[in-house]
Amino acid sequence: MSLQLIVNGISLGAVYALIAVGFALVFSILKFSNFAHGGMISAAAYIAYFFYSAFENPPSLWTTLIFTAIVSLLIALLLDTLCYRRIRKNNSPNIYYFVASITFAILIEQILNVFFGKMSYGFPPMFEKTSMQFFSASFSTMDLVVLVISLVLLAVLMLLINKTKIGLAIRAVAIDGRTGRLMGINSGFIILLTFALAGFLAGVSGTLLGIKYSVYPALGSSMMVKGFIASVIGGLGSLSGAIIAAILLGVIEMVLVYYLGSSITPALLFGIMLLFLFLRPQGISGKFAQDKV
Amino acid sequence: MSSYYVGLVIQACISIIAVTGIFALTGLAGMFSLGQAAYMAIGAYVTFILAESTGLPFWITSLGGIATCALVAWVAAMPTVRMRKDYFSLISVGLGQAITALLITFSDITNGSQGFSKIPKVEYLMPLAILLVVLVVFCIRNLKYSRFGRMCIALKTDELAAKSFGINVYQLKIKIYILASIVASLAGILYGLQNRVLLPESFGWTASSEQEIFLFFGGTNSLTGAVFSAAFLKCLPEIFRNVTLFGQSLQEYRTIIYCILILLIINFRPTGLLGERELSLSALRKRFSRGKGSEVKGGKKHE
Amino acid sequence: MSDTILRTEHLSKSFGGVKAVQDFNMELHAGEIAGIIGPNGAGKTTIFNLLSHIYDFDEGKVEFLGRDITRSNQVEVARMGLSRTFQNTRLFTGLNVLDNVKVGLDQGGKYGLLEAMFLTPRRWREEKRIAAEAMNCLEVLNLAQYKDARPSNLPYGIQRRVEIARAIAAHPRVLLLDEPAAGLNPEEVLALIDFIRLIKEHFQLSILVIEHRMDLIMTLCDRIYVQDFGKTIAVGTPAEIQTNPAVLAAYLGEEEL
Repeated sequence: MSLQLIVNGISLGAVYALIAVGFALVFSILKFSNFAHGGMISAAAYIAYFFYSAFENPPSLWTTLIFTAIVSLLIALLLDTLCYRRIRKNNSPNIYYFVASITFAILIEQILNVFFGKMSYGFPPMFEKTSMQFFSASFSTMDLVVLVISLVLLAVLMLLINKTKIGLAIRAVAIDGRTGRLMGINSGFIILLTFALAGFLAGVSGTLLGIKYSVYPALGSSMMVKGFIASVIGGLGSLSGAIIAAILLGVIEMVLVYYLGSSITPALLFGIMLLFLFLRPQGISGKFAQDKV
Repeated sequence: MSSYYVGLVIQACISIIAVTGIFALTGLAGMFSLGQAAYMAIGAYVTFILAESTGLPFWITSLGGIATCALVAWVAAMPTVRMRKDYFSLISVGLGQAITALLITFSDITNGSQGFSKIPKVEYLMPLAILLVVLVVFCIRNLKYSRFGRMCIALKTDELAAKSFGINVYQLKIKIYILASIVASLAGILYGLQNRVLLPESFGWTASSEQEIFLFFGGTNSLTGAVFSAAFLKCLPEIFRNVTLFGQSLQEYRTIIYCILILLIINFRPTGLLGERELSLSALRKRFSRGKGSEVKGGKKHE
Repeated sequence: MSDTILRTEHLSKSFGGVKAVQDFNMELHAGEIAGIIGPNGAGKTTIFNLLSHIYDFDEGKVEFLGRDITRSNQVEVARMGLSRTFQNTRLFTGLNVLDNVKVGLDQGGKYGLLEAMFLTPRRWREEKRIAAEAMNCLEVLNLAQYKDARPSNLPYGIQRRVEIARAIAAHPRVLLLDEPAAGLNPEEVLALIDFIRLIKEHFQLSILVIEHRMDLIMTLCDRIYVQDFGKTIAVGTPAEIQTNPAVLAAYLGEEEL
């Protein structure tokens, strides 16, 4: 029983990690919290659902995932062009990014609300065997698939960031955009790339969450909060910190839900986060962005 | 006045009170919160649950609601206002969720998602609402033109420099946060009195962000702008009640319209509609130095 | 000496492996102007940030007005009367010049939040006092004409003077000036020298100034500390410093005095 609980927790945490990383990526480059990520997750879930159910013979999970990821990549680029580009150009204070991203998140949620109603859509079961047996415990196939996809994607992403030239450029801009430019890095391109990556991640996490739970307008915003909590606990802008925190969060949430019920859990998680930040405000990674004197 | 317009005026009043609180928090002290609606919920729930269980009139139990709000705000502020502005905002989102979760969990007291509806009926709600608006706007306006207002604007622009003038930034932020939460609780109690039912979901982060959006629409540095846009944007959708688009009343599109408006404002007029202007500031000042009784007139102008 | 206002002993701070300040010993006496000079990266601004407790220091001791303030924080130190300006002016852009100066006094205002909101008589009295003091400060420093202007609309030289006005409004005992002449033309520097003398006399301050501009330092300072790579390489009167071989080698040679 407890093994099952932990695996489920890790599976949930892996999806949170996808959200937290998408969010931390944008934060590390542009130093603002991209609330719009939640809206994109909701949008992705709807796109995946309607794509999946548009065909007589439903396409495979992979096709759905890739299609959705690419569409939400495009939405992310659109978001940057419509909402953020001008703020960047005006050099407006950070708080404007904030407001713009929140507004965009609400905009998407409301569009979904108005046009698709408040009712939720459920994906039909995707696997013939809905559960698998290991070590005398039974696991939901979906949870295992979600876990594998998330972990593989996270691994690829970490390789991309840490081992490739593009990744190096992203890290350079994250540390100091102006110096990065002086070194010949096209930071405009890096920003676009970051949004594209974040959009791709939103697409994948939206699809997986839609399948795991169901598709409704507030899906993204409720999940986004967990992603936020994870990236705050992990230390804003730190990818590995965010992943560790997200998986911890998933496990803690599963355990809390199992023993105390699902309705009180959000309040407890919030309390845990407050306590953690009180004790260690710089987050797990220990990186603490401080204002320059 | 027909009851429809009375309802509209009260709604506008609630919106003005809530956004005025946000003005103190975000406009003055630069703290961007997405959890202020949670304090509306705390204020309203505590007030009416106490009224229901003790049998006391709501205006006495509202003191309990306000006090609970202040206490929760104090506890929430202590670890959070010390942090970077981003952390603070993110955590405030969680606050809204946590409160909603608690309200649903303790359903034997709050009646959970069914909604709490044992709320007394008040005869003279509109005068009460207007009185509260005048009081709150008066207080926050005075705050802006006091040493606290200046210190707040100083810490908003440059926390480090503010500290080097001996301003205890941490304490000041806590004070303003508690004040803003008390204002929010007033709006919450009024909200309860008007709607006669409290639903946990109506106090989530979207409700809070609507208030922030109203503030940015009017301009974060202008109290007049905040008051004006709070009333205007709240009432705007009512005008379009009978207009339909794609088979739905235009009212359904209310939030979508807000969102597009605010994206336009932020991109093309970042200081908000009014920038830093305040309504007939010098005239008001003159009136103030002659006597305080005339504030009622000034307050009515905001409606 | 008994009239020592500010004293440091063995002040040290490193960032990562870089020793920004090593074993810095300094005394500032009542009514004195002392200067700290040194090439870029010599740790001058770090010394200021240590004195005003923006950074914690690794080792050492600071005494201010006879009290050990090693463990105090930035706010406490500021309230005790240690005031400063910043290398890049950090005026509050959201406030006009008069309000900027008022902020320097606001911490000492004697009315509470509730009194502010309900306009009690004490609030009026205190606001009047603060306004009068701020205005007086601007008048003494010949800045009264700019009182309603936004800092960002003023020439750089005026902004610097407003920043100094804000720093001394609350009558501190010590003023730290971080490169007050940076970005000013020679004429403005001359005006600034008179200005600093004026505020010293009028407000009975002790001043510690960091500067690159030799003319300003040599004319104003009673004593000069020369820093290089975090270490003090010479201490003395302007005349002594000008002839000190170590200083000439490290610093003055480059400046072509």
